[in-house]
Amino acid sequence: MSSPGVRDELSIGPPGTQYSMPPAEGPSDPSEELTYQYGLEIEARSQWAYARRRFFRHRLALGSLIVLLLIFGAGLFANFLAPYSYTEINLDALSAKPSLHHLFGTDSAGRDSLSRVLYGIRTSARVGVLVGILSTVIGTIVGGLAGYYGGWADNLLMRVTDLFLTLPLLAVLLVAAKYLGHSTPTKLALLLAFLIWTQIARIVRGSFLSLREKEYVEAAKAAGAGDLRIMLRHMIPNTIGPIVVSATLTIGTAILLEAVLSFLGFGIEPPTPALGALLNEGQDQGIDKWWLVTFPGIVIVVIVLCINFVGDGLRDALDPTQRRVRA
Amino acid sequence: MLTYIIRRLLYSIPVLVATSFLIFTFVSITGDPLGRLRSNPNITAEQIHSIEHSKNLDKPVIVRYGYWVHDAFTKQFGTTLFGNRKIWPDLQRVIGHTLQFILTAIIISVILGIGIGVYSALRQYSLFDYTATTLSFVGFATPVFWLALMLQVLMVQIFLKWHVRIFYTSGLSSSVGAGHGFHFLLDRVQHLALPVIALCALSTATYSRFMRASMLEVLNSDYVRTARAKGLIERRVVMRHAFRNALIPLITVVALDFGGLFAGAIVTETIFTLDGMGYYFVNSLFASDPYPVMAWLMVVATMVILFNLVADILYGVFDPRIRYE
Amino acid sequence: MHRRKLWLLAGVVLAALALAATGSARVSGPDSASSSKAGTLVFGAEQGGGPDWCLNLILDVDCNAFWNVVFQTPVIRGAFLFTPKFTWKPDLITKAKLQTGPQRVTYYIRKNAKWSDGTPVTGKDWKFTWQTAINPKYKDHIDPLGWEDIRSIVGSGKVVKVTFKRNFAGWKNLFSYILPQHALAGSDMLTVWNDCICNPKKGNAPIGDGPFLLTRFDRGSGITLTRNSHAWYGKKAKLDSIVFRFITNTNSEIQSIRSGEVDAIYPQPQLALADLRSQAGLRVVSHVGLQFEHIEIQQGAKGNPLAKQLWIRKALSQSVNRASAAKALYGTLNPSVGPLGSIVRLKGEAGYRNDFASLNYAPAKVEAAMKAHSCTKGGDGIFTCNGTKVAFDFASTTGNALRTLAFTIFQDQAAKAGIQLRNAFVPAGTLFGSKLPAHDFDLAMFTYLVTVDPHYNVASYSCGNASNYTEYCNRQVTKWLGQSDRELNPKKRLALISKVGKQLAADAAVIPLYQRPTYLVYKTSVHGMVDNASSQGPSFNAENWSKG
Repeated sequence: MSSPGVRDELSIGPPGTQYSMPPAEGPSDPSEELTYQYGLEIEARSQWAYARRRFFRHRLALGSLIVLLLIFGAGLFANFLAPYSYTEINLDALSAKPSLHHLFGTDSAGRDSLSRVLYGIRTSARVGVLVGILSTVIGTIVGGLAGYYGGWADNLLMRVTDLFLTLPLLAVLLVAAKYLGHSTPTKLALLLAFLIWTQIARIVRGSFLSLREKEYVEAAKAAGAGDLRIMLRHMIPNTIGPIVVSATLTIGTAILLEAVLSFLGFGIEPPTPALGALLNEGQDQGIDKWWLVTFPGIVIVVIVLCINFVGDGLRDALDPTQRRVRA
Repeated sequence: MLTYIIRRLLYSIPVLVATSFLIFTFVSITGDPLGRLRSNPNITAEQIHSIEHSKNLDKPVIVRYGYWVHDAFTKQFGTTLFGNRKIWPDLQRVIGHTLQFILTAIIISVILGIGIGVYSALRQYSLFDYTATTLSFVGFATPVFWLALMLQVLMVQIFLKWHVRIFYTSGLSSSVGAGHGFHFLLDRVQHLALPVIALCALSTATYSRFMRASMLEVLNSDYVRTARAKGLIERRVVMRHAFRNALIPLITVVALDFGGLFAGAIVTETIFTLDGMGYYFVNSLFASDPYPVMAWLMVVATMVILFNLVADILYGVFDPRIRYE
Repeated sequence: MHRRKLWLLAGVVLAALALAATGSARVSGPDSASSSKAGTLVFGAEQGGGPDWCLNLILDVDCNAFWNVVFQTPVIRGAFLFTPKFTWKPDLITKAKLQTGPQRVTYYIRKNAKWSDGTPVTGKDWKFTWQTAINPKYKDHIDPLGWEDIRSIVGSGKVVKVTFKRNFAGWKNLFSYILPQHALAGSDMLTVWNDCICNPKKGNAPIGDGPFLLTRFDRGSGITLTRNSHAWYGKKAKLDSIVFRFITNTNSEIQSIRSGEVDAIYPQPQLALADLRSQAGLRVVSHVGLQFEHIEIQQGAKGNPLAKQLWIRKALSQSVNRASAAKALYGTLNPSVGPLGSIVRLKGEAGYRNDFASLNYAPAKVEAAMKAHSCTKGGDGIFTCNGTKVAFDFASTTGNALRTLAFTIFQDQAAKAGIQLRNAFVPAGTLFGSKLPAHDFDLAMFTYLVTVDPHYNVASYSCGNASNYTEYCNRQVTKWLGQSDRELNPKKRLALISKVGKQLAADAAVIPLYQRPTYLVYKTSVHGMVDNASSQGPSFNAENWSKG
C-alpha cells in the first residue's frame, strides 16, 4: 500500500498504453470510520478520495492543472480580458511589433494579437473539450458493447476500428476536411471526434472483456439485472479511470490536430480565431514577424503540455498498480 | 499460427474494400478536377461538358468506383486525369524517396529512444531523467510543422551569420535528378537531415517514454528480483534479462507508429518540398484527382496492415505467453 | 556497460553529423552550394512537376500554366513575344503584314531561325501547328479560339500566308508556340511531349529553336535547361544551364533564397516577402502585373434582389476603400499598386482610363443614397430597404491570406457605411466549379489572368455568355464587344473597348480592385534578369542571364 512519504513520480508511458484496472477498495481511513458509523456506503467515496489525494501529491500535474485552468479561464472570459475585439482592424498599425498598446503586436489587418490569442484559446478549448466528450461517448459505447457481448459483435466492431486505424489519421482528415472546406468549431469537433474515438474504444473493450468474468457481474446477472444495468452500474464505474485519462489526452490531441488542419488550409473559418489558424496566418506573414508565430505556438505547446501532465497525474491517481516504487 | 495469419489477412480484405470505397466517394464528390478550367474564360461550356464525358465524370460515383477497381487491377492503378500519366511508376519513385527518410527517422529515433529510455529507467529521478521527461513531453506537445518551420529559420540564420551551410532547407538534392557517389550521398543526407529531425522529435519522445516505462516495469518484476537475489551481477541482470524483455512491447509501438509516420511525412514533405509520397498525396488531393489518391491509399493501407501483422507475430514469437489460435 | 554503450551511440551520431557539417562547409560556401559549375543558375519555381504536369503547351486544357510558359520560353519560340512594356515584339519573324477583306496575315520568318538539329523553321511548322490545333482528336484538349477562324495556310518556306474565314482581332496571340513539323509529324500530341521536349524520330533527343534545350524533367524535383550549342537566331546564351527547382511552399521559397540555395525566385505576392527587400545580397524588382482582382455583383435570380438596382451597386462600390486595401495588401511589396480604375484595360496598357473614379470610397454618398431611397438604419448600424436588409454574402477562395485580409478590411469599412458583408468563402474548386457557373452568389471576389489582347472581356460581359457569371446584360455593350473581336484596326478596336469600359462603370456591374504585382527576387551576382509582368514571364530573355 502507499506510504505517505513517497513522492509520486512520472511513471507513464506515452499516450496509448494499455491500462490495468484500479482496485475496488481503498485503505482504511479515519473518515471512513465515521461513515461506517452513519451507515453510509463507503466504497465509491474512499476510492475517489484516495485518487484525489494521490493526484494532489503529483506536483507537476497539480501545477499544470492550475496553469491550464488559468489559460482556459482567460479564454472563457476573453470578452472581459481582451483589450480589443478580435475583428477590430486598424489600418495604421499593420503588423506592428509588440508594444504597450499591443502586448502581442498586431497582425496584417492591424488586429490586436493578444485579443485574438485569447479568443483563440476559447475556440480551441471548445473544440478540444467537445472532441474529448464526443469521442469518449462514442468510444465507450462501441468498446463497451464489443467487450460485453463478445463474439461476432466484438469481431464486427473491432474490424470497424481497424478500418479507422489502418489509415494515417491525417490523410483521412484532409480528405474529409476538403469536403467541409472551412468549418465552424462544432463541425470540426464532430469531424475530429468521429475519427479518433478508436483509442478509447480499445481500452474500454479490453477492460469490459476482463470485467465480464468477475464474480459480482455473475452475481448481478443471477439476481436478474439487465445487461444495460450491469454495464452502467458495475462495469463503467470500474473503467472510469482509464476513460478519464484517455479523454483528457484526447483534448490535447484534438488541439494539435486543429493546428495541423489549419496549417494545411482546412481549419476554422475566419474571422473566428483558433490557435492553429492564428499560427497559419502568422507563418504566412513571414518568420520575421516573429510575434505572430511565437505567441500562438507557445500557447499551443503550453496547453498541450499541461494537458499531458494532468493526464499523467490522473493516470497515477486512478491507476495505482502502475505506480513505481524505487528499486 | 498459420491459420491466425490467414484469418487476419482475410479480415483485412473487407477493411480495404470498405476504406477504398469511402475514400473514393469522398474525393470524388468533394472536389471538382475541372475547376481550374472553368476559371479560364476562353474554354467554352461545351468543351467542358465534352471533357467531363470523356473522363466519365458525369457518371454516378459507384460506376466510377467500378471503373477504378477495374483499372487498379488491370492497369496498375491507371493514369492521372489530366496528362494521362501512368500512376504506378511515379508512385514507385516517390515511395522510394519517402521510405529513405522514414526509415532513417525510425532507425534514429529507435536507437535514441531505447538509449534514452533505458538510461532514464536505470537512473530514475536523476537530472537526466527529469530533463529527458520534460523534453519528451514538450516533444509531444509541439506541432510537427511548427518545429519544421523553426528548424528552417534556424538554418537560414546560421547561414546568414556564419556563412556555413549545415543542412539544406528544401528539396531532395542540390542537383536535379539521380546521381551516384559519395558526394551525392552526402548531399542527400544534408537535404534530408531537417525533415528527419522534425519527424524524429515526436517518435523519439514516444519510444523513449515507452522504453522507460517498459524497462521500469520489468526491473520491478519478480524474475528480475529473483535474478538479483541469486547474486547475479547488475549488468548481467540488466542486459540479459531486463533489457530484452523490455524491448518486446516496443516492437508493437514502432509498428503502430509507422502509420503515424506516414502522416508526419505528409506535413514535412509539404514544407520541405520533398518528392515523396506525402507530397504526391497532397498534390493529387488538391487537384481532386481520385486515382493517384486511391493508389496512395492502397499502398499505405497495405503497408500498415502488413506491419501490424508482422508486429503481432513478432510479439508472439518473443513472448511465449502469447498464443494465437 | 550500458552507459558506455550510450556514449558510443552518441559518439557515432555526433560523428555522422560532424562529417556532414564539415563536408558541407567544404563543398558549399555562400554561392557554390547552389551551383557547383559557375555557369548554372538555379531558379526556384513555385509551380510545377506535380504528378500530372505535362509539357506540351499546345494542349491548353491539360498543360497551360504560367510556369510552363516560363520553363519553355527559352526552348520553343513563337511568332511574337510579349515584352515587359505589354507590347508584342516579333520573335521568330522579322515582321507580319496584315491585310483586310478577307483578313490575311503574311509572316516573314527570319532567315536564320532554325531548330537545334539544323532544320530551318518554315511555314511547314506553321501549318503543322494549326492542323494540330484544329485536329478533332484533340478537341477536348485544345482551345480552338482563333484557330478555327483560319481558312488556309500557304507557304513552306520562309514566307507564310495565313488566310482567315472570319476576322479574328486577336491574331497576334496565335502561333505563340510553334511545333517542329519534321519531328512531331505523326506523333500523338497527348503523349509525345509529356516528359521531354524532344524529337521522337531521333531517339528523344532534345529539340528546340531557342537559346536553351530542355534536357531533363525530373518530376517532383526540377527541370533542367542546357545551352543550345547549335545556332539559334539570337545571341548564344551566356549560361551553361538553368535549373528550375520546384519549391511549392512559399516559406521554403523564401528560406531558400535567403540561404542562397537558389539564385532567383518569382513568387506570387505574399506579405511574407516584404522582408526580402532588406536583405543584403538580394535585389527585388516588382511591377504591376496583368492579373487583376475584382468583385462581381450577381444580378440574377440567385443573387441578392437588391443588387438589381443600380444605386445599390454604386453604393457597394462607394462603401469600400480600395486604395487602403491595396496599401494594406501590397504596400510593403510594391507601393505603386493602387486601386484599378478600369475593367477593360489595365494600368500600363494603352487605352487605360480611370472609368471608376466616380465610384471611389465615399461613405457619405452611401448614407445619402440610402436616405434618398427611404432606407432605415437598424440597431447594428446596417440599413434596411423596403424590408430587406442590405446584407450580401461575399464569396472568394479559402486558403489565400491576402484575400482573407482584403475581405476583413472591406467588411469593416462597409459595416461602418451601413452595408453588411457576410463571409461566404469556399474552396477554389467550389467557387469556380459550381458557384460561379451556377450564378449562385451575391458578391464574388477573384482574379482574372488576362493576356495583352482585350478579347477576354467579351466572354465575361456579353449577354447570355456562359462565362458571364453576373447575368449582366446590356445589348449595346454586347454589340460593341462582338464588333471588337472582329475589328482589325487596333485604334478602332481600342475605341470600342473604351466605350465598353465607360458603360460598365456607369452600370457598376463589377468593382475592379487592383492589379497584382509581380515580385522577382535574385542575387546581386545575377545579371541580365528583367522582370516581365505580362504572361510571358521573366525567362523571355534567358540568353542574357549570367552569374558572377
